[in-house]
Amino acid sequence: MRIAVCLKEVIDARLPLKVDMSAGRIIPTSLESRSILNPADRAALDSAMRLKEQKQATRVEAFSVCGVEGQEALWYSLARGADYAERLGLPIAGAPYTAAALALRLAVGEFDLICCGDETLDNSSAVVGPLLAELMDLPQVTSVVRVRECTETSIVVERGLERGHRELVEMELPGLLTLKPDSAEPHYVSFRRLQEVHTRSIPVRQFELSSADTGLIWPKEAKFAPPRARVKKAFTPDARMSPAERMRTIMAGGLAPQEANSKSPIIEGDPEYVAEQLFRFLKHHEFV
Amino acid sequence: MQEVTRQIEWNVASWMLAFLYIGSFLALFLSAWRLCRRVSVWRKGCPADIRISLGRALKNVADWTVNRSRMPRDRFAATMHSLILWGFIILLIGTTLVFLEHQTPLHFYYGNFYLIASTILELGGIAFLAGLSMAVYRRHSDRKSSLKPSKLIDGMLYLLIAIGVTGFVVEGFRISVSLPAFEKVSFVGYGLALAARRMFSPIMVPRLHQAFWVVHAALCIAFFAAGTLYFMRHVILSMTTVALQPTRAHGTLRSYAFPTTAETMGSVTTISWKDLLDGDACTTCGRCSSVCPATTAGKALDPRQIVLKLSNLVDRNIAGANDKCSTAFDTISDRELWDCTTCGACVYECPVNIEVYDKIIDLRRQLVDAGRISSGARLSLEGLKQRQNPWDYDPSQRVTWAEGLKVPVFDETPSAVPPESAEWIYWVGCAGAFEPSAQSITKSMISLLRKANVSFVTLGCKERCTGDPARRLGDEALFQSFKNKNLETLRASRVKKIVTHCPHCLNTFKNEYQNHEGEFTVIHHSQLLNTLVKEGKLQFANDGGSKAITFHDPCYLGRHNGEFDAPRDLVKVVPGNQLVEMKRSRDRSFCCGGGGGQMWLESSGQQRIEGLRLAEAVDTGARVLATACPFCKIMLESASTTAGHQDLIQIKDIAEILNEAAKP
Repeated sequence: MRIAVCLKEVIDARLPLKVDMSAGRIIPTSLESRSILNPADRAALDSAMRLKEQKQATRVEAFSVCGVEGQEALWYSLARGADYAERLGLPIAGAPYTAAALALRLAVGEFDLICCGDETLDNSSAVVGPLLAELMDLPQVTSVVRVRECTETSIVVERGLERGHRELVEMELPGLLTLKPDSAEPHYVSFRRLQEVHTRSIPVRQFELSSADTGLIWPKEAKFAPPRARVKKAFTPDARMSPAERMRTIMAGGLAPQEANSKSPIIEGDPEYVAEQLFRFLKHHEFV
Repeated sequence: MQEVTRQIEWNVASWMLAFLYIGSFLALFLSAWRLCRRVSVWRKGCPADIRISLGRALKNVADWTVNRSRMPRDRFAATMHSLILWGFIILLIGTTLVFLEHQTPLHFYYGNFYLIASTILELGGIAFLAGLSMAVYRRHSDRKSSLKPSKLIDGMLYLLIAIGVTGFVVEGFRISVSLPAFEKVSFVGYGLALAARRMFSPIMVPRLHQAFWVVHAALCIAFFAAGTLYFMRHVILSMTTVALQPTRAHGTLRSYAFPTTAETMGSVTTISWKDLLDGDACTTCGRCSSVCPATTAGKALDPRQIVLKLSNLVDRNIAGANDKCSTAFDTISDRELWDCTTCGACVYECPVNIEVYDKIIDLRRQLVDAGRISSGARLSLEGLKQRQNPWDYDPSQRVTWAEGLKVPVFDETPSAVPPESAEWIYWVGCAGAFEPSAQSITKSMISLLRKANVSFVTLGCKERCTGDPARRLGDEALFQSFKNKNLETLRASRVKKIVTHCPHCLNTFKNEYQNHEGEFTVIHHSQLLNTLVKEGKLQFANDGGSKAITFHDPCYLGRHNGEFDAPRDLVKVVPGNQLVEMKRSRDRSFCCGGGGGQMWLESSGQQRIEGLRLAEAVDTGARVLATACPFCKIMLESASTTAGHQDLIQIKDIAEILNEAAKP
């Protein structure tokens, strides 16, 4: 079985960004040398490698649509044990183009399984995987939290749903998975292995994606209109709020605080009191 | 007058002699063959980083023989072992003399020489038996729990006792035949001879002599045959480990560059031949385990077992030469390896200089290379890789502690302090920069340096981890990269003297950045402060009362770098402070549980090491527990919070104690 993994190097969003207050923009130097392999992509790579370690897969190949600055992710994949890594050069940015380039490349690889990250830390559009599956006409399972078992012809995965629910899905192969960041226990790659692969050059394939190319892969009847992320007013925590108020606001979807007699009560008080109330609640609903 | 000598091989028939010589030869051959098989396995091991001259090796052995090295750390065991060893050597020399007299043309065994030699041999025999009796007592009284019950060792002891006793009995029968007055020098034999005369008829004596002679010979042959079995190997092999005693400083980990693959991981080819030899040379005394903080706290690690399991690996390799699957990881669990705090107590305690924790780190290196590490270790190593600190803090937060303090920072910007003007670099370290309870050490240190008018500079955001956690968690290449980058920064600053309050940073700079010989001077803040106090640059006022203070020796300051007195002097320099010692102090200090990467690893086992140490400090009745390491402070503070001892005892760095009492 051959597995393709799609990777992306992203800005580490867990570190605070330096913002130029007067211009209202991020100071570009604060973004230097803080890129990391997207955590969900890392989980995709780790899941693929685990299948290889279990002798389910014979070959794992990694691909990334990026510039030279993004090939650290590909080196990482080689250090992690991938058999091959390739960079796809693309002059246009955007999830649909990325998906198109990947579709053109992966169509010739005879892959049985394609593993993508569920979403990236930077844009969080979560569309490259699904678009790729559609373009390649493959079945897909999104938001996978665990790969259960895998055979030559099918794969069984757990899919993460809202509120902690899980869905057990079996998919025929070839197919595509998009994996959540915590779907695989991260594997540590020693510095020696990283240093070793850095001497290897990463092959590059350039894609122009002219209108002729896109015509090849996008259905003729579909008008090529890439979906665009729409940013709503996001919830911004207010330091003046008490934790309970903040909870109410978040649960109300960022609108006005909920009424006190709503279905999910919010308890406020010292830890002993809160714990007792929580216990009563659980006991009342026969959880304990 | 009868000549003062003895008739050698009196009453010994030729068949008895043949039995002795042929039996001994076969037994020694068996032993040698057994040893050769082990040597062939050691030779499969990877190269060991040992560069030692023959002269140095001989000097090591001589030193060990005269000073007994670390043996006297356990008085009873040292006395016992000395008696057995010297008794054995004397008897061996005596037997050789008899052999030379009889089998070579040399003729010397008469007259005064004979009298003196007989007396010494008699004393040797008594010492031998006395030592063995002590050994039996030690194994059967429950005095030392570190000893492993072993039928083989017990058997060996009784065998040696039997050899000693039958030797005396044979001598007694020999003397009893003519009972010459000069034989009184062999006082035990003479006494036995008198008894034999009274008990047996003169016809019986030669027969009994023959019988006991054969028994004595048979026992000796049995001893020769068992000479290279299990723990008895130490008789020969511990000499080699003593001779090959590492020349590097105590705190220096050896380098290891033997890339392993999934196939070879843990096999003999990935373990240095010295480690395999060490395993075989182990005396199984268990003194390493008796002082190991992890073993004491009931964790999975037992350092003696690590050493013995490597010996077991050699056994398994001999048993199944074609079975390539036998690896060290079959018997050594990952948990055991991750429990080590690298405190070095085991190495300090080992009577035959076995490098115990280096083996653990080497195996960790293999685990790390295979990615088999716990999430705590992984997060710490990735934090080091991406953010240059093991806590995974945002690197730009490295200087937040200095806000408002106007601390001189070396920077490449021209407006900053010109570094050449500073005498010292104050290396803050990751703990001192990020961890709140260690930040107070840094601030106290800044205040003290200012009070003493020391010109210093800090490196601000140019500082990064020294690589100590990376190295001890097993990522050697990552450590090397930190080493290169840090040396670059330090060279760029053009300051030659470094002071740090972190013993781990100190140890890394001093012992592990070997390239910088003479390039930088690195000292611990306790040493600098001690000098400043002696020069009169720091003065202290009494805050009124007297305080009992106990001092916890950080492993990386004390055991690994030999500094025990500077921090103690500092504690005593403040008027009113009284130093009380804990049960385990100085080079016998008990680790705080934070070294060797334990700060970031998940704790396992029944008890927490830091809790045990804190309890010891509380037992002294001191109100303040002083230490000289940010890691110790963090660990002991967490133990104090867990135990609810915050009101009972305060944990402070010596810099904090001094700063509170220092006059402006």
